[in-house]
Amino acid sequence: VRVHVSIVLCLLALPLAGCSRQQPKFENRESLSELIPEVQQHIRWVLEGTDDPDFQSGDPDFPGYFGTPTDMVAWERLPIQYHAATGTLSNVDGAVAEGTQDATLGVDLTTQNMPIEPGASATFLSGAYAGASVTVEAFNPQNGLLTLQEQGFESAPAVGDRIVIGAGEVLKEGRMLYAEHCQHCHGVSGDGNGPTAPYLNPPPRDYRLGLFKFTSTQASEKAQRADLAQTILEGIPGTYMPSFKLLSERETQAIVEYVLWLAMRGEIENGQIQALRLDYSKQTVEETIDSAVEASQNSGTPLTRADARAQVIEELTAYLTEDWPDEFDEESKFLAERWANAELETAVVFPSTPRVPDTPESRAEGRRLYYDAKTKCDTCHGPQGLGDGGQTVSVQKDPATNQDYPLPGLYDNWGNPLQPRNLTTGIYRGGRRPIDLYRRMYAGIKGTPMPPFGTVLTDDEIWHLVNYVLSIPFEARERRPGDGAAQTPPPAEVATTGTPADASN
Amino acid sequence: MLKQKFTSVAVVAVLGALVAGCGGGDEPRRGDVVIQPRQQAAPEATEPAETPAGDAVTATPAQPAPAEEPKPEMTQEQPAPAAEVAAAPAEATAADQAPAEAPAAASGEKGTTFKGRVVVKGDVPTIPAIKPSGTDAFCIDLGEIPQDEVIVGEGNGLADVFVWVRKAPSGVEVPDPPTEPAVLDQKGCRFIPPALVVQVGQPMLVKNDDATLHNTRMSGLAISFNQTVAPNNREGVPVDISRPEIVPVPVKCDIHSWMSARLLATDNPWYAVTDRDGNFEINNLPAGAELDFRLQHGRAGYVERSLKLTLKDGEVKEQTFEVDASKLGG
Repeated sequence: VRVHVSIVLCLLALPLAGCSRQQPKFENRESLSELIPEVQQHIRWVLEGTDDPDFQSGDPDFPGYFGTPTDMVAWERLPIQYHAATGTLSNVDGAVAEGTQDATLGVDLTTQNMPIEPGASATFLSGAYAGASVTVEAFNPQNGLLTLQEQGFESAPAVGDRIVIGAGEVLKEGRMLYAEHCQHCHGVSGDGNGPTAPYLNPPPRDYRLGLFKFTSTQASEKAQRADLAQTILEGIPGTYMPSFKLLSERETQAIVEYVLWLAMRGEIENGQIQALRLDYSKQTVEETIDSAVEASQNSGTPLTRADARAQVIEELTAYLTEDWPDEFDEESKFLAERWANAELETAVVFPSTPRVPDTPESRAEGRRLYYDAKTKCDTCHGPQGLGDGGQTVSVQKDPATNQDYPLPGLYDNWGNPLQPRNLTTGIYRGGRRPIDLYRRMYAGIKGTPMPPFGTVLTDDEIWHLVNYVLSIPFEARERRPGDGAAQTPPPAEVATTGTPADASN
Repeated sequence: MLKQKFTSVAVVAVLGALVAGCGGGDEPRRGDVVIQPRQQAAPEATEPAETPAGDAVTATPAQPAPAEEPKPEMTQEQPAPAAEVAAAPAEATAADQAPAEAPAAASGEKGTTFKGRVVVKGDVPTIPAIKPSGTDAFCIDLGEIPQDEVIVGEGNGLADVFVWVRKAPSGVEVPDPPTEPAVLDQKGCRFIPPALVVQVGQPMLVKNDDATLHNTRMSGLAISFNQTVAPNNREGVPVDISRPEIVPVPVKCDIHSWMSARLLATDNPWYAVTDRDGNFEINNLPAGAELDFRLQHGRAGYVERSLKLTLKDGEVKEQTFEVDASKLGG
């Protein structure tokens, strides 16, 4: 009977469960759970504004700097295009409208990401009306005049007041499109751990390190918007990342902004965890308590563990109220700057000379460089370009711990095993245009052991290598992929003088 | 305020949410967005009802400290507003007008000093020398490469422990960083030195004394660097150290994965790395300010997490630190 009852209960529960929509939520990094609860609470407060901790209790409605997927926060410090448009007031003559006329505001748009539709909101960011919103009736792009669905202001706002139109519209559209197209692999929080992720190799990108592999920027710079858009447009050949050419330009841009936002959220989260875990991981705090208790045994006033813990929390509270605000301020400013700098023209890798003509001589020179002591391409990509160089079978060390990785081979910054590209297939993940290969060689692949060669090779040398690498799939060779790799590099005289066709025999 | 044409959008939105809750299809819900302005002005929050489709739009300031009610003026407790204007930390400003203290140091006066030793307690583990793996004949031909991870000298002194003031105390004048570049060299397929400190603003170079290619990769929270250094490059590749790191950052060569060093970037010149016998000495410390020292070793981790010292002018403080041999591993 009991079984029957529970089945009935289950059946009853089913429609209820099916009906309550599950709220999407940003998962926190696993390492957050290694911290003491007080610090976990602090970091969640930074991100989502939940659980206002004692030391920050000021504004119970503080939404955090990022919020949740359904209540997002557009933190203006970050260089993200959140809104349909932003601008400053240039003309307020029509603000105090007469009679039944609608009020108008002249606006100098500083950014516009979406068309300004009737019904859009316009929110003041500064001035007497800061925080207030009005509704747009129409916008005339010719004269920059915004007609409002309002009968006028009692007193006109000031010229120069900052205003956003369609607040958060880009982010909202980005989130919707992300949920539709990206989330099942890349996950709600961009951790690369969506429901399909366990079945994919290579795994989907985890954005939370703020690192993207295929970029047009210098080795030390972040990725550009254009790089992410390019990846969405073209996909990543040889992986599960498909091309999304059917998305409109505007939709792609909205996804890019949302992905950047997730990346920055992940970086802030990671930065906070890294900074606080040195002193406030559960393990460290236990050790601190142990030594404090031990030290107090010889003194007149022995401490209990609870006393010692209270001291730690006191120290934490003092740090978070006194030093932390400034530190966080600087850290977030630095992060915003780095992302903004990536958009500058100076961040982009441009060759100073045009591509060297793709001649047999150029290919031969590229082939020579491939084995040269200053490039050592073959140590990873293999003597025949099969991606099976000696590095793939030697045991590497994890830079974080300096301990050997469990399995031989190369690893990326996310801790995933990595194969150097097999250059005989003609599939290039970062794009197959000569400039793509040039940039891969000049600036390396971020987050991977592929180093940048911009400081070692001249532009012409890189172009020779590009010409050679692009010719590898068409080289005649005795051995084919799958035949097993020969570990002996070609004889020196062939490597330096021979043409690719000669070299293979 | 505004003469608004208010409709009961909020009610509609709530109704909508109820309907959407059941059978809303597969269409993902559009999120609501709140604005956190960059400027310090903390305007009052607006009612969600003002925006279309139930989107809540409120505004909060950019400071780490949450906005209470908007204050007409930012007063005492508030740190410098988050605006771009007052970005420089107090110590950076002080450094700009660095006084004539550095010459005194050069003339041999040591001033307020913190010195001491780090010793290993227990049986010092023997770490085997490195047998180069991989395919690089240059390194393989070296046979064995000395390990730099645990170097124990005379009287069990532990080398390469970082000793530094974790953050320049506010209000203290920080001497200008040295103009002499800090150099990280690569020789015999190892980094030299294995522990290097750079003060933010000091130039830094990565060099290569080997006839083989090395690349130098370091990624901390502030430092992000990865460049190849050509064989026998003696001019060096510059590294821009623009922000301090909380702890030493691992430095790696991807081509020779055994190569390992640590780089610390500080915001002050009050640092030392223990020598072969575990000794360190930091001179010309600012007297009267509370200095929070940290001692860290690449393998052992923290030797001392936080040691707060306030020294009198001219005082010489001496202390010995012990590291349990078990923390150095085998």
